[in-house]
Amino acid sequence: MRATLPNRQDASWRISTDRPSRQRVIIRPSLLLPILLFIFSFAINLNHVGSTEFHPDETRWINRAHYFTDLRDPFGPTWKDQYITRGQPPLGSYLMGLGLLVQGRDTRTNNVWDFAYGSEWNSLNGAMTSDDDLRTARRTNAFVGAVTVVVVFLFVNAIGGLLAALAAGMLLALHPLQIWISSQALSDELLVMLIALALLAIIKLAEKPTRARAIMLGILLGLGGATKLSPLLLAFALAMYGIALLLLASVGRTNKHKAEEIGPLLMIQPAIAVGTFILSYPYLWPDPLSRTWNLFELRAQEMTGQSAAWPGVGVDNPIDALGRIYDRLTWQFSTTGSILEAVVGWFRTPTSIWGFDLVFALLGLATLTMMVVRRGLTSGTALAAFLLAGQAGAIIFGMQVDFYRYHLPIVLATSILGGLGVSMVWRLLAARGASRVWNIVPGISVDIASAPAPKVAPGQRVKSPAAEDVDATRESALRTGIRS
Amino acid sequence: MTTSILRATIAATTVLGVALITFHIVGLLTEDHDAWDIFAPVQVAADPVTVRPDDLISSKNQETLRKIVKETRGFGVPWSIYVTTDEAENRDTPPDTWPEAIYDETPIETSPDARDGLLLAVVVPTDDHTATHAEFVAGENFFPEEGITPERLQEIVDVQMAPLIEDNRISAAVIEGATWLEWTPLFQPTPDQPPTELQSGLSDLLHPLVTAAIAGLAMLVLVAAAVITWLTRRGRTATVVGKLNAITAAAASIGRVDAPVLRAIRGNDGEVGAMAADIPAETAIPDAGADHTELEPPSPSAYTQSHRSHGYETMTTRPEIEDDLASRGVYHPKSVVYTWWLSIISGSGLVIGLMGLVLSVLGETVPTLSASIALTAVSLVTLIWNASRSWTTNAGRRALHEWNHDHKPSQDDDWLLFDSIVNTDTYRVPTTRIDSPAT
Repeated sequence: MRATLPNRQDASWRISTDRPSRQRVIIRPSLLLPILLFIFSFAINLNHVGSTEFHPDETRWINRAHYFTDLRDPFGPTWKDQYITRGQPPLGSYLMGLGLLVQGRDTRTNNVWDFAYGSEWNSLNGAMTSDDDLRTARRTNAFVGAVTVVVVFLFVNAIGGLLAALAAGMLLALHPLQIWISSQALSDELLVMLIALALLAIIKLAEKPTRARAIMLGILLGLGGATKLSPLLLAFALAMYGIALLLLASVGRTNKHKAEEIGPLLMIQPAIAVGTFILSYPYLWPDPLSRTWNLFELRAQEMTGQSAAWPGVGVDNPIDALGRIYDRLTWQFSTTGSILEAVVGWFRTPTSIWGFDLVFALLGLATLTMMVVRRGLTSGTALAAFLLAGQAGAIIFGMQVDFYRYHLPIVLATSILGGLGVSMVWRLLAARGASRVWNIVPGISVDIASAPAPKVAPGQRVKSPAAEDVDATRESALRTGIRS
Repeated sequence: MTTSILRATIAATTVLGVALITFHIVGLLTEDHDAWDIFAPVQVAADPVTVRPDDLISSKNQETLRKIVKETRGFGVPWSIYVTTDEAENRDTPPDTWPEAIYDETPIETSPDARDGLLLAVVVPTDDHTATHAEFVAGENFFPEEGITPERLQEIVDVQMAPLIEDNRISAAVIEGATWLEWTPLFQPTPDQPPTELQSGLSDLLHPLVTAAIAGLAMLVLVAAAVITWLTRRGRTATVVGKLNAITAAAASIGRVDAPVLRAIRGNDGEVGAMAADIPAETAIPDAGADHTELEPPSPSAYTQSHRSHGYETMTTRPEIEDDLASRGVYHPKSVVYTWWLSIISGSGLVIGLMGLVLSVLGETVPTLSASIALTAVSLVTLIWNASRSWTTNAGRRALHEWNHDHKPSQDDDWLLFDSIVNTDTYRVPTTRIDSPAT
């Protein structure tokens, strides 16, 4: 048995016998890496399930696990207009219920935790969740967190290639905030997974604009709304993007054909997302508009209330929010900081090291901007960038309270951008022959042979290095069709 | 200013504009203004807390009680607390009748004669505090009030207050009762109300007949889809007339004469390979450092320019080519009619399903709701599938199989043309360039 790594882009690792045969096992990195990432991330998250600090919010989500089983009676008392149904959209509760049931527990758990009283009062009144329920619910989120890492890998692979995808996946899987929330029983990880899935879906929609793919995107945004409301607003933003595309196409400022295909599919996103959102929550059925309004209203009131109750975490304006994000993701939670701290820790020198995830993210932002400009506004890259910017923007502009979990969607964005940034740095270093640094090691000799850039006539189609995969016959046929 | 800079400026301005509008809407939605108050706080003239004599409960505890009552009134519950002793009341009737009397004398209501308030009355015997009588008295129009029910009020008295009263902790008992009264409307589920006349009438109307009809319609849509698929595939001839070429084989493979097939026939690039078409001419001239992978997707016309003899030089419209394929047995001649029929059936199913959804929610009828969801989902999926459903007959499939057998992948131009048509209806972007070191 021998394994060979072909010297080509997007290679497959083919394991075959020495005798040529039609039957062989092909291990594609694009298939193997997400599996490994999933196992890696799931293991890390599970490892933290027992040690992550308890948050009273977890009891609320576990308490509402019965929503899942109460779906059998969508007109029952659970779904009446009351504080608890107005408090949060339901998908996180469904997830908790599903997780408990799948792991052999039932959905009748603890009472509702009242934040007006302390732990003792709540514990006495049955609002403290049992250890078993807590661990079970946390394991559910550990799974969701690992799936999120895989979806991020798939998304970044689709726009930036394998190295960027691997870097993004690792940055997210090792991110302390991601690990923390993936080992708590909250709904934020589900939100981030749905946003990542929506990013992937929008890439697929741009690749092939069909109604089925548009519906899939709308459903994901609707489910995102059913988790934390804000993705619902992204559907409206996408609709406006669709209108803008059509307007630009009408004046010849973008790819007319594709804009006319994608624009209408983006414009119907609010209808699909809102429909999904309403369908997912029986509480909304009797009066969809005013009760949806109730949900947004209560969230706004609670944010205001929390801001007043804890002045230290109140956020005054978007600039303040950006400052909070910088502090949180540089000093408190960062993958690079954690890794460096671990490395320094090996030398028994405990210290707090600042992370530079945001530096990679800024490089990634520049890369993504370049990609959007080059690929055009109708490209999947542009649509996904818009979606990602919309979610991050909603947090920056909507943040009134600086709670750690509100930063998780920003971590998603910085991981994706960080992956692109790492990839860009790698490429630049490689282009400048950085591997020659190994020459300082005795016994190693690295020689970079620089190839001259090909001369290409104006308007001529050229092949990228990536396209060397193309079969010789195909290349020959392609050249036949070159317009010159 | 070059075109690319202009495009980038327009793009950035558009994105910024859309983002600003979005954020403005978000701002409007989250703005905390006076009109918003989902808790609908109530104004009640009666004092929140009355204690007779005043030193029966310490001023600090009275303050706590006032805070709780005000908060609960803020959630929309009109109520008060009245704590008294037998000496302070000086009544002739038995103490357990006093709470009703106190409520009647000082009505707790949101407007005169509304009778929609609640009173927690606590009567403390002077000689034995452990014999204190606590009771919630509700006006005739108090219920329903979210999670508050007579049973839950009694439970507060019996389970939360009584043990503290037995311990002679009257203040603590009243505070505990008030706390639970505040907790109950927020966190206890609102009980089901008896169905209204409309709900009962609708429910009787919908179930079981309408439920069965809607479920039957869902089955009908499925059966219609299956029958039309079977009819289409059966076709009218056992074999196709003539041999397939790359373009007709692609049309058979796709099952429709779609845009890539037409582009291949017309030898017109159109916009296939959108990235290339989306890039202005000057940036399409690659330089050493440029990312030109977007230029890569091949278009069918690239092949047909060197592969002109496809047999459709005189036909360029979709119906003409579809008719030709149907006459040769590749497609079913009635495909268009079948597609219309299935669209009508599934479209009707969708409309009826949505109507059923609304009616079943109004009537709170679970079986009809389930059937309506099934009909809506089945109809929607069928409608979408029908829009791109393959029209290729079994004879066409056999001919395609033979054509595929005769043309090995990547071995000849015909296969490449076929492959380009079948696969280039996507806007795929090769993206390996970004992580490809120059080494």
